[in-house]
Amino acid sequence: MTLHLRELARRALSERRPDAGGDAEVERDVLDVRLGDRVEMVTLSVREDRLVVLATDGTGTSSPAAHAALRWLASDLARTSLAPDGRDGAPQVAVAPSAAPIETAIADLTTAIVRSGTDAAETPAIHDALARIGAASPSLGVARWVGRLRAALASRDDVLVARLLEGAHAIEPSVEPVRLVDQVLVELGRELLDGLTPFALERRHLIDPASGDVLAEERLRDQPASNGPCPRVVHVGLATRSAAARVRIVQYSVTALDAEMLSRIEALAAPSVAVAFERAQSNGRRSATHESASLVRVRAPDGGMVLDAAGAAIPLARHEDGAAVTALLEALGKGEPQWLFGRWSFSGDEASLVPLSCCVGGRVVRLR
Amino acid sequence: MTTRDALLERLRAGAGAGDVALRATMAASGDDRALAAALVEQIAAAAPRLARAEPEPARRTSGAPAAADASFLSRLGAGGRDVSQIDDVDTLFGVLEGGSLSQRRASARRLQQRIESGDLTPEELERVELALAAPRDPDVAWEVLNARAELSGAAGRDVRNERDAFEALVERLSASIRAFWEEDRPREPLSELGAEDLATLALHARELPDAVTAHVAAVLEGSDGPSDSSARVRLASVLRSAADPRLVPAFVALVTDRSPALAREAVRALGRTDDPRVAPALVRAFERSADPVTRALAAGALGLGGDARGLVLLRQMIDTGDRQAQRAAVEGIVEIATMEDVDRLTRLLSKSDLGLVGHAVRALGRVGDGRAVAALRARAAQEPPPALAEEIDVALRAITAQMELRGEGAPPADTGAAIASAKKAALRTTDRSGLGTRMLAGLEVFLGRFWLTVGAIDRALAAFESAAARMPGWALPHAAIALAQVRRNRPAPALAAFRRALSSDRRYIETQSRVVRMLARTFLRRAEEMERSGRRDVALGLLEEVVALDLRRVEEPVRFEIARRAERLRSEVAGAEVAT
Repeated sequence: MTLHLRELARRALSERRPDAGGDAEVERDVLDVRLGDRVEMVTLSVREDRLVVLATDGTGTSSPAAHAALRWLASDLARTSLAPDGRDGAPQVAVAPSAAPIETAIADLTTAIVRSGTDAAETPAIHDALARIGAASPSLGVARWVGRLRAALASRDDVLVARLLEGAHAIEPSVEPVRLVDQVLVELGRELLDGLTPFALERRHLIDPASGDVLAEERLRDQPASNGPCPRVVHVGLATRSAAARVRIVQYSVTALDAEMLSRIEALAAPSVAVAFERAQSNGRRSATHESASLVRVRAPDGGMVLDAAGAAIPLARHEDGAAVTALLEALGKGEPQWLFGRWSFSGDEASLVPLSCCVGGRVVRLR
Repeated sequence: MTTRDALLERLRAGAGAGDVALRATMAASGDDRALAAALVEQIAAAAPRLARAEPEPARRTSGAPAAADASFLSRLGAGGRDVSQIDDVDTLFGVLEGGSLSQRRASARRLQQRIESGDLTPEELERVELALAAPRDPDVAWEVLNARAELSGAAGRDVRNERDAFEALVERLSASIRAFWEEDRPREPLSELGAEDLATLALHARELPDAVTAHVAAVLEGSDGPSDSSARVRLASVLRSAADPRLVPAFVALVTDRSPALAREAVRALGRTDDPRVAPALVRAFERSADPVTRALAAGALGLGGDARGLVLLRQMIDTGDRQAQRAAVEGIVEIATMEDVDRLTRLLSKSDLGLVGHAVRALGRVGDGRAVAALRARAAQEPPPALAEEIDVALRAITAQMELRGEGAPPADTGAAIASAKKAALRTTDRSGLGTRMLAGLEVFLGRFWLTVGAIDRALAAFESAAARMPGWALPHAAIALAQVRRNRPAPALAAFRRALSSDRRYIETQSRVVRMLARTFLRRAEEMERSGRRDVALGLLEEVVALDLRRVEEPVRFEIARRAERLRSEVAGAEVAT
């Protein structure tokens, strides 16, 4: 592989103009080194004229992976083989391709985070592992997962970091998407979310008025998705639905939300926030990985609290969007409250709702 | 410490090769990867639970800025009196002309209530009709229109006819929007509207049916299909003064759009909307936007809600920015400029960029400092284009209104050639912090005192004004101007100068016995005059302003009289409110 990688690089270089690099200089190199059946990542960089080596199987040059990477980097390009000569007692190693499968990249990221600790800033190893995850899977689910993990690391939410890492392999289950034909979906919420970059994703939350299932249509902001205002009724001609409750709408038409549809939606609302939470937890402990949304019946606020139909105070995710919470309270005070639609947000071991929309006096009010 | 707490501590601190104790705790075998996987799995094993609900603090709904000084106008709706409690129509007209955006809106709503109540005299009604006849402020046009609709006769009829036209437009548009989505019509309906229809739509945005508003939001967000970026920018620009909270999610999304033109329009529109979701979006735009124009506009938009965090940046951009950044900064500073900015803004009036000049004129109008009047009149005398001439007229009216509400009276008809030329000379100085500037300013104060001694008050004032223009943050020349005006028996301009001195260095003024005594007497005398002319709100404002100062160096009888009169006026005004 090492030889192959070098040969490919030489070939690619020969196809470019000799001066195409300008004054550019390499300051950091990240290598994937295969040791038997596992792949370790080695980062080599120059800091104040000194070589800094970080490896995911140790912290410095003592690790076999770092040793192999150094030998590879320091070797003469004219050599025909970089296979170990056995004189230095190094293990049989070869440089692996950079695009490792996502499972490996996630395992590497977990290892890197656990090694450096969440108190440490985003180390080069974590940064590179996140970049590899983004490169390994172009899916929006993965992008969102990366965005959430970065936010959890930045806010030092260790429990959420652990939950996200533990549930990572459930982001994109390898199950064939299901075709949806001639179905009605109602969009009740729309929001911008962080992905690989801040505010990179737009998610539309759609509820199936027949089953009460909540699906998500997602797009990168410069990519197309189904057109239409929020709220809206989407008459789906053809769509696909993944196991992670993501939907891709292909053929559709749009109508406004009428009173009949609103009453069907209201009938789907959970009578209490506890029931809504229980339903959302049906995914087991990985519910934190999937950002599900719930519909809860509400009554008039009291003492600055939003109350469900049973009279219990609904926990709202002020830590994520305090302004939407304030807007919700103001909206509920303007008429007869009917329901609240929100996305579950996790902080530590606790879940609360980010308000997306509410229905007051027969009117849907968009909150995000 | 529980096992889970210990594991969390390890996740925080880091765990790696050779961590024998941790391996033993978790019974993990294999390499570090297995250890890491086992650690996160054990931490994540606990099922999440519902958080405890916390009560949400109530939002300050008036949207009024925090009081910049202690004057009646500054404290109106921000700890002082509530506009909705004011009965005096002259005060309401003044606030409508010269108040902040939230005060202007509140004033128009209060005038509407006063008309609805039916207790205005025919003479008052006539004046209200005249005041509401030609709204020139697009940000308050809808509130003024609603107030006018309550008038009887031709004025009210015109508005009601206009409303009929709007309702017909909405009916037409609703049908087109339905057809666009349901029948897959290729042309987006808003793109087919003429400029006049779009303006009507923007003016009545808060009355639009939800379905139309949702469609407008879809176009802004780029979720309609046919509309390209330029069409979205155009629509956002038309809706700049719409102030409809239903459009906030769409505008908030646009603030982070890749297109700077969309982000800029979104920031402008959000600043004019009273909604709790606006401030966080604007703060984000101000702190994180890579586009300096968006940052400047966000600073100004935050200022509309009373948040002046961007003022320093805007001043820097005006002084040193390129032309585009300077223009955006002047637009941004309109609602947060202070008396300290009068010279900075006055200098811009001679620029050839009419857009920039227009913003500077608006900003001077909002500051309401009488010192800008001469420069504005001079610019008006240069026969500017009609639009700019109108801007100058509006600004002059706003300054007059504010001066009257602060008890400073109307601006003088002519400020005097000596003062103007002295200020002009001073403005030529570019370095305001150097030793040379400080020495020159000190020399001018010394000269001014000399002229005062020999009775040449005009010359003394010119010297003091020149020193003040050289060093805007220096309280001494402003105090000297105030004392010279008192000596001339002109309490109104003296008040303005005392206020500038207080805003420059309040503590210094409070410790100067002669200055603070003269200040207290001037405020008291002016309050007496205002009360005699029936402006009890303004009189009370003046007294409350002076009561807020440290008056320990003021003579006992004056202090006693200020307190007694303030108490009496307060109870009289409160009694009038109860009666209302």
